[in-house]
Amino acid sequence: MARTIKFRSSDGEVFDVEEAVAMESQTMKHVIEDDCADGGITLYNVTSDILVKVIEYCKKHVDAAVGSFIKALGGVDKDLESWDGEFVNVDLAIQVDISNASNSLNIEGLLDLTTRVIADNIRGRSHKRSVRSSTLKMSSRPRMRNGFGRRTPGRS
Amino acid sequence: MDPVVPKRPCPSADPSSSFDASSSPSRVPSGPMAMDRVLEALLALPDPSVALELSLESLIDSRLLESDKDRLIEGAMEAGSALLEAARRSARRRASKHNFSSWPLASDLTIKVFSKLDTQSLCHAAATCSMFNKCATDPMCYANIDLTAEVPKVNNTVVSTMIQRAGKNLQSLKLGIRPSPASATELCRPLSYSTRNPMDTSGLSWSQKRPRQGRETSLLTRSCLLALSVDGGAAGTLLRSLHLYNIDKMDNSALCTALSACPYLLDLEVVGLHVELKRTLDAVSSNCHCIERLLFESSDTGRDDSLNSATCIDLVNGCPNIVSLALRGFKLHDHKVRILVKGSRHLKFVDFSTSYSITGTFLRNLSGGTNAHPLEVLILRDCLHLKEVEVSHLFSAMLVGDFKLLRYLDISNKDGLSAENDWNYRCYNPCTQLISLVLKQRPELCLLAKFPPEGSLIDIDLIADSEISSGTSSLMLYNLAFDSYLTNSSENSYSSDQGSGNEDVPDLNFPYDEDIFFDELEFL
Repeated sequence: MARTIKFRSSDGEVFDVEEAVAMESQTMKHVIEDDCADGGITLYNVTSDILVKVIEYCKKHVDAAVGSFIKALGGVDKDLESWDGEFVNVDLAIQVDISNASNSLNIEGLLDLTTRVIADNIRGRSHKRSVRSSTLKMSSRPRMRNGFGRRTPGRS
Repeated sequence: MDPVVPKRPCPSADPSSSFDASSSPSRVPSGPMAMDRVLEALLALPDPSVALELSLESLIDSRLLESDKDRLIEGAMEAGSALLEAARRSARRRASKHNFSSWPLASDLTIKVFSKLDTQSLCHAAATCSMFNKCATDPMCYANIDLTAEVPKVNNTVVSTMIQRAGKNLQSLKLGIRPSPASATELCRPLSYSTRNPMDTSGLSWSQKRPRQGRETSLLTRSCLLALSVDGGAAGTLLRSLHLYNIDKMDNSALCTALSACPYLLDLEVVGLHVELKRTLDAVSSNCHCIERLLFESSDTGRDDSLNSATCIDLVNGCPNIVSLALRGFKLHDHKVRILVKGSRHLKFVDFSTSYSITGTFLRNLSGGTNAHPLEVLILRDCLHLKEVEVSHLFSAMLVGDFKLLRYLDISNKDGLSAENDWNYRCYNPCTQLISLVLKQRPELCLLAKFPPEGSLIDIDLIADSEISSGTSSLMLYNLAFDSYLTNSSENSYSSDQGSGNEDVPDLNFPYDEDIFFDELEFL
C-alpha cells in the first residue's frame, strides 16, 4: 500500500509522490517520519519544472534499487548509469537549479551526480564562461607562479 | 594633498560650507562634498589626458620658484597614483559584489563542486576571483591531493601549501612525474636534464617494462614530504594513501622519515624512486601496520636485489593486512617471495612483473590443507627467468583444485618462458594442452598468455583472433572479457571453442624440435 504525499512547488503546482520515492530525500524522510507530512509539503525554493525532474530521478532510482540485486553484489548498474548521463544532459542553468534543489532536499545521489557534472564543466577551463543567464566574468590566469595563481581582480 | 576620500556624513550639506571651485583656483577644497565635486569635474573631462597636461603645464609655469614647480609635479604624481589605486579597489569591490550575487550556487554547494575537482583545476578556480578563492581553499576540497603531472611544475612549497590547506581532511597524496600511458609504439627518447625549465614532453611515452633511458627531473627535492612530519606528524597521521612517482632527488632516509610519520597508511605506491627496496619495506613493516596495498616499481630494472628473507619475514609479521602486493623490476628469489606469498593471510593480488631471478618455484604447494589460498590475481608478466615447467606445475595444481579463488593469471612474456635447464632457451608455445584443460574446467578464469612468434624478438602486442592460423604463427591469446558479470553462458562457449580448437594446434604449430618441450605435454 503505497502512501502518497503531496508536494507543492514554489509556484503552486501540486505533485503526488509515493512515500518511497519521497524518502530518497533525507530532509523529507525526517519530515515524514516525524508525521508532519499529512497536510502536504510546500517547497518554497523549488520551482515546478525542477521538482518534476527531481521526482523523476528519485522514482527511477527507487525502481532500479528494487528490481536489481546487482548493487547488492557490488557491481555497477550500467543501465542506470547511462540513464543518469542522459538525465543531466540539460542546460547548465537547469543543472544548477537541480543541484540547489538536491542540496536543500538532501538527495545524496542526485547531489553527487549534479556536482560532478558542474565540476566537469569547470575542470580544465581557463577562460570566460557564463553560468545561468547572467555572466560571471572570470579572468583566470593560466600562468602560475609556484603552482597556484595570484588572485586577480575580477572585471565586472 | 589628501588623496583619501573620508566617509562622508549625512548628505544634507550646510550651504555656508559649500565651496565654489571656480572662484579661487589656488585654495584647497575643504570638506568631503567639495572633494566630490572636484572629482566629479575631473572625471567629467571628455579628454582627460590632453586637458590635464595643459592645465598642469600652465600651473607649473605660473609658479616662480623651482621648488614649487617640483612640488607641483610630485603632487600630481601622488594624486594620479592615488586615484588609480582608489579606482582599482572600487572595481574589485564591485566585481566581488557582482560575483557573489550572480553565482547561482550557495557557497557550501560550491565547495562540494570544488571538492570534485582535481588539484590543478582547483588552483585555477582559486585564481579566478576572491569568492572562488574562498570556496576553493576550503579544506574539504583537498582531501585527495593529486600533484602528479607529465611535466615538472610542482615544487616543495606547493606541496606543503596544499597539505596545510587540507587541514584535517587530508586523505591521499600523489606526487611526482607520471609518464603518459605507453602507446603502441613505445618510444623512449633520451632527454636532456633540466632542473629549472619544464620541457615539453608531449609525444614521449615509455614502457614500464624497460628501464628509463632519460626522464624529466622533478622539481621536488628530498624534503618534499617534510610537511607530513611537522607538528608532530599531524598531517601524516591522517594520510591513508601515498603515491610517489619518479622523484629523482628522493633518497632512502627522506622516504623512511616520511613513512614513519604515516602510521595509518593503507596504500603506498613508489615508482621510479632511487631507493632501496629493503630499506623501504623495513620502514613500512615497522611503521605502517595497517597497510593493505603496496606497489613498488624499481627505477633500475633488475639491479636492486636488496630484498632478503629477514625483510620478508618482518613485512609479513608487521603488516598482516596486506591484500595487494606488487614488486616490479626487482631481483627476487623464490624462497624470499614464498615467505611473502605464503605468509600473508589476506593476500589476493600479486604482481611480480619484470622481476629477475624468480623461476616460479614459489608457487609449488602454496595452498596447503583445507584452507584455499586467497590468491585471486597473479601477474608474472615478462619475468625473464620464469620457467615453463613451473607454469605447468601451476596449471596442474589448478586442475586438481588448488588456487580455487584464482580468477586472473598473466604469464605473458615478450621473450617467451624459460626452458628447464638454461634460461637462454626459450619456449614460445608453452603448456598448450594444460591451458586448454584449465580453461575448460575453470571458465571464469581470465588468462593472459601472450608470446611472440617463434624466433622473433619483437615485442608484439597484437591480439590474435580465435581462429589459429595454420601457418607458423604460434601466437595464442586467451583473453576473456574480464567483467564482474562473468557467468555469461556465451563466455563459456567461447572458451570451450578455444579449447576444442587448440587440441589440433600443437601438431600444426610446433616449430620446435626441443625434446624437453614434448616431454612437458605428458604432464597431466
